[in-house]
Amino acid sequence: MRETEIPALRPPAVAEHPTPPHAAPVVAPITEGKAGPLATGAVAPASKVTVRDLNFYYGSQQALKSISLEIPEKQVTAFIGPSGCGKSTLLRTFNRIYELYPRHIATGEVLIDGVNVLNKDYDLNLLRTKVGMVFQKPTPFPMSIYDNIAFGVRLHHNLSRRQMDERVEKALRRAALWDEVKDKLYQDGTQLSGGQQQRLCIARAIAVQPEVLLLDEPASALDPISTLKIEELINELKTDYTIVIVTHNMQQAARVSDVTAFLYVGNLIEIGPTRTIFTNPREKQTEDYITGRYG
Amino acid sequence: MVKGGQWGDKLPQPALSRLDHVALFLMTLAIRPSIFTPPSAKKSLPDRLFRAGTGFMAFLVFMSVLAILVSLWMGAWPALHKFGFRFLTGTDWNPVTSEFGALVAIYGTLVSTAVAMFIAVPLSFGIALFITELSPRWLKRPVGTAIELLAAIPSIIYGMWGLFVFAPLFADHVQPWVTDHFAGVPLLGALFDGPPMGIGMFTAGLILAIMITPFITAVMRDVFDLVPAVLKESAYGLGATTAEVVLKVVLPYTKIGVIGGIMLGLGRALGETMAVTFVIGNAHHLHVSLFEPGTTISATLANEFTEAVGPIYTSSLMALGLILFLITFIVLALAQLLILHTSRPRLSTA
Amino acid sequence: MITLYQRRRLYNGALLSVAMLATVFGLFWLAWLLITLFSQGVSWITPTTFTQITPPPGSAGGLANAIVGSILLTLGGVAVGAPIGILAGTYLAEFGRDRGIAVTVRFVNDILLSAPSIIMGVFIYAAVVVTTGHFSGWAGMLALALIVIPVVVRTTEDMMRLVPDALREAAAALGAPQWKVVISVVYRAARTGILTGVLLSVARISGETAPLLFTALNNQFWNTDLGKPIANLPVVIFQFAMSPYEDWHNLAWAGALIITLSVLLLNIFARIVLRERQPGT
Repeated sequence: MRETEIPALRPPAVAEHPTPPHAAPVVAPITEGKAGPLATGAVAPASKVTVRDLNFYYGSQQALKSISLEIPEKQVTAFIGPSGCGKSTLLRTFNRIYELYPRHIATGEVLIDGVNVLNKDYDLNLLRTKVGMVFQKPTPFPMSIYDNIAFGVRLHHNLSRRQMDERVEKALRRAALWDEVKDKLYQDGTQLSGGQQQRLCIARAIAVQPEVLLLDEPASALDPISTLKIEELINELKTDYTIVIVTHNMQQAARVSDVTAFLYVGNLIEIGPTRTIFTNPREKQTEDYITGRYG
Repeated sequence: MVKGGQWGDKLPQPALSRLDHVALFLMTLAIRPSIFTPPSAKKSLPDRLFRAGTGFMAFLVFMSVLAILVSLWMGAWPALHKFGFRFLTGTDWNPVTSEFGALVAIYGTLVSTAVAMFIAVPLSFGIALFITELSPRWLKRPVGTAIELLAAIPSIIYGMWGLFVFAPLFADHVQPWVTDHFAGVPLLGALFDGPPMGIGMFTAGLILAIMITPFITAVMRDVFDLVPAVLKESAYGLGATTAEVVLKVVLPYTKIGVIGGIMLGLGRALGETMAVTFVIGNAHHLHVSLFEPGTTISATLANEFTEAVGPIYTSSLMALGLILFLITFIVLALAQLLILHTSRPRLSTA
Repeated sequence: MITLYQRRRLYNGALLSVAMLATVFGLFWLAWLLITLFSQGVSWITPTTFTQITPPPGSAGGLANAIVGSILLTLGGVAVGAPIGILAGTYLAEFGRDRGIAVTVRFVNDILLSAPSIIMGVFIYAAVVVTTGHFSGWAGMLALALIVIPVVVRTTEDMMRLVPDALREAAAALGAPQWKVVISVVYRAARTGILTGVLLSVARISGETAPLLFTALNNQFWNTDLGKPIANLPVVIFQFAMSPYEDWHNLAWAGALIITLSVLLLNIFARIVLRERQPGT
């Protein structure tokens, strides 16, 4: 039973600890990490997102320290690490959602298709049509299921009623929700179950036709069965989208991702093919975390 | 106009220009979006307009207080200039001779408020204690709502009821008895002396007490609910009684918020107009006895403003208004600071 | 000889009894007030109360002009005050947050919320009545609007802050500009709460007397022209109750019951609306 594995092996809480001595500055994995995904696949997938020397600050507190990595196109990349390690922060730089808050500052580069999206001149609306995001807790808007999906589409396209109907249906089908909601499209989206709400949010994100999909612990608030559905969905979606998922559930990372990156207190410790990370990690810190020996 | 100088011929000028500086500074804040926006964000025009529009309205809220202060100050200026410091200490209030002093009204305001607080504070504490610690679950909400409805009833209704229903009963059945029984007692005898008219300082204070009780109760209830359950449980676990838990754990833990709530009630009582106007008697005389009629700042304003003739009379009333606003402003500001310290419970909006 | 334990129990019993008594005492006043209002008011409310205008002493009449005037002033006050309050509350909840300027505005607003309403009357007298040279319905409306604003600012901000930031992030992540996020998502989520605030402000001003005394003044004739003094229930009640005439007292009781009932019903209605659907989901 896959779902029974989920609660097992929770990552140990090490967030409160100051940097332990063995988490010394890590520079080496960057270049090696880059080689990771390339080394395994027979056909090297192109890199969709490239992060170069990214630093992130919450006011005066540094949350990410000189991160560099590559996200392969149309694959699933997982960010793992103990809570507070910066994995969500890293994800939130990809669509600059952090800019909603004052004094959240990122320096360095995040290149999507070779263009630095952190550049102030980069159009934020364009970026967010290109990069969709789904959050930890389901966030259905207080409007009908149909309008939830149409909300994002209307922002960017002026579609006829018929085209919009098609777009909504397509998104809901893609998110494996159509059969459950096709008879109640005009019901309030907030009345769906938690798992349905989360798939609604995925449908809403893909209705805008993004190229990259950011999932920030998308299943952590859900029950095992809903989690399983979300994971299956991720597997299907990667044929069309580049997916980046943040999770603190290592089994989940092992199940859904092709590439895994391990972060610890703001540093990227290691990135590589998921199989390698989980069976034969290069860094001792990664191994300790994977095997639950941390702390 | 030697005495007028005490209020300062120079005073209004710097005071006004200082306000202007504040206003200008705030105006720059409101207009320059760069101060509001995080430095990195590049906002579209509709976004900037929306932000500037809502910011302007918030700015307007701030400005309204300044506008009230400035207009009251300018309206009060002729009287303050004429009477100087004497305005605060004078007991004469004579439209015929155009001689005005605010002391009787200030005294009445303070005394009726003191009576109100004397009654309302223990009453509110008792009710808040009942709602948070004693009441069975099903009774909490109805009792809480009923007490809050007490705050929703317009103050003019309290005044009318006080004048027509409470005052006659009080004059016939309570006042004579109290006056007789305290007649010989040194201090209380003087406090409760006088003709049994039903109206006067005491009646005004009592009705004020009923009006402000819901506000104090609401804050007390909210801060009592903030006490962590484990704290109370650990005290009960040691064998403490409810009274001991409340007095030795809950109250010390919430004392700042409780004082804030009391100050809030105080601010309300100081400025309450209609309920007091009906029952205080509107007499510009100083009396020690609480059973004698008197007046308050707000009652004087309500009674005399529209009938005031002559610039000095109107200006003296404006000066009363200014004094009232300053007193309540200080009290309410202190209340806010104290309540903010504990948290931000809802100050009832009813 | 009383043991320590017995003394503690006694003490506890005493305090709890006092608390109970205080509650009964508080509820007693509410009951007494309402009972008097009904017994005095009901018999004087007749169809003519709503059809005839305020009479001179000694003749029959009603409160029609005062009721209509009150409705006009109240609606006007809300129409002016609520939009300003909602927008200012929006600023505090969405843009200001914990910035210094927002903290200041919030502080000032909370003071205005409890400031004496008669001061608003004096202010509008000085600012509007003196400037225009006469009392008017407009002046009364503005004075009431000044009371509406802090109530609406407070509830709007509180209710918008209950909407989780995740919802704002989700809308922004779809590429929605901030104004769109606020209008289509945050307002929608908080609409019941905001509406409750507006309803509460209506309840609050419909009984306010002090700010109208020297702004809208009163008018014994039929008038719906806001440019002139206009009759309104609270001021009519004040004048009639303070008069020596018995029939005016009776009309004052009728008016008092009408106002109290409307205010209490509005309050209860607002509470029900709010309880039905809390924002945030």
